[in-house]
Amino acid sequence: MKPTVPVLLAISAVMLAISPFLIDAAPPEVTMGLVQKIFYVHLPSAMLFMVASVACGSASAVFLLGGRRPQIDRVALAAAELAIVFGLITLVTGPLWGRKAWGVWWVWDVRLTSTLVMWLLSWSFVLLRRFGGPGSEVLSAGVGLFGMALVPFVYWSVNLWRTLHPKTSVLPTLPASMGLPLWWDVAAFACLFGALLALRTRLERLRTDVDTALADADE
Amino acid sequence: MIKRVFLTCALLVDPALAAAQQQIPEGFKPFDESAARETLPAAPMVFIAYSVAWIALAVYTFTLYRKLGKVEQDLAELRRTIKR
Repeated sequence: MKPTVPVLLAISAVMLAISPFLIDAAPPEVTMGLVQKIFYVHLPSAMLFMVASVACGSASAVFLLGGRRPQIDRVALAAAELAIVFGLITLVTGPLWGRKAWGVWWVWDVRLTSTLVMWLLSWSFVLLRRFGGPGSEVLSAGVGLFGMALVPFVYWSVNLWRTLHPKTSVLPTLPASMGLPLWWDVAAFACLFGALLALRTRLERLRTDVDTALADADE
Repeated sequence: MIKRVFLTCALLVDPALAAAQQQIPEGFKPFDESAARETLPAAPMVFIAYSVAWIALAVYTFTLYRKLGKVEQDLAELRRTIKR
């Protein structure tokens, strides 16, 4: 295993251990109060969800157009699985925040619905690989492309349509006292994402090695 | 009479207006303070949100390490068998 993986895991663990103190020190938002603190886990996970979808889509594009190399396909699969994990966190923490701030768990507006569709596309990728049989890597790569195509739509949807969800202009206007815990958590999640992506890709490579060794043993 | 004819025509032409007419409650109802004031505490929401995030990431990382360990062990065993 490359030494960067344990290093990234250690960095993210230390950062995530410090993170609650920074979040506690951040001032509560004037209208939403304490519940706004969900923001410091909701936004980083949403960002990494988008990054994972873009990584999956990019790897899928390279796989489809660049000679169908298995190592690229492994990266796409690892990214799709990470998109499921970070998407799950986004889709659980969002409604918990919304229930208190908006009075409802869920609204079928464009941001929330498109995020759910993007998450279901990540599931489609992984399920296709799990149950699709031979040749499913090409089909799932197509699904990965659709997932990536949704990312800009999800991002700009709040600015283009009327929705309960805060707009993207929240970030540039964020005061430093709220910006520090946010970017701290984004960095911690990014380190963890990098480590998990490397680990998941390695797992897939080792599984291929096992299959090759088994085939050799049969001969 | 003319007013009533106009209203009937309007309701026939515009179903939305008809629906709005039906939604108007009859009479006055007293304000129910207990129903209006929803006291939903924020702390459990924040606690659940952070718990879900940390648990999901910890479980995924742990599962990944466990699977990796198992596959590495299988591979080493297979290689030993092939060498023999």
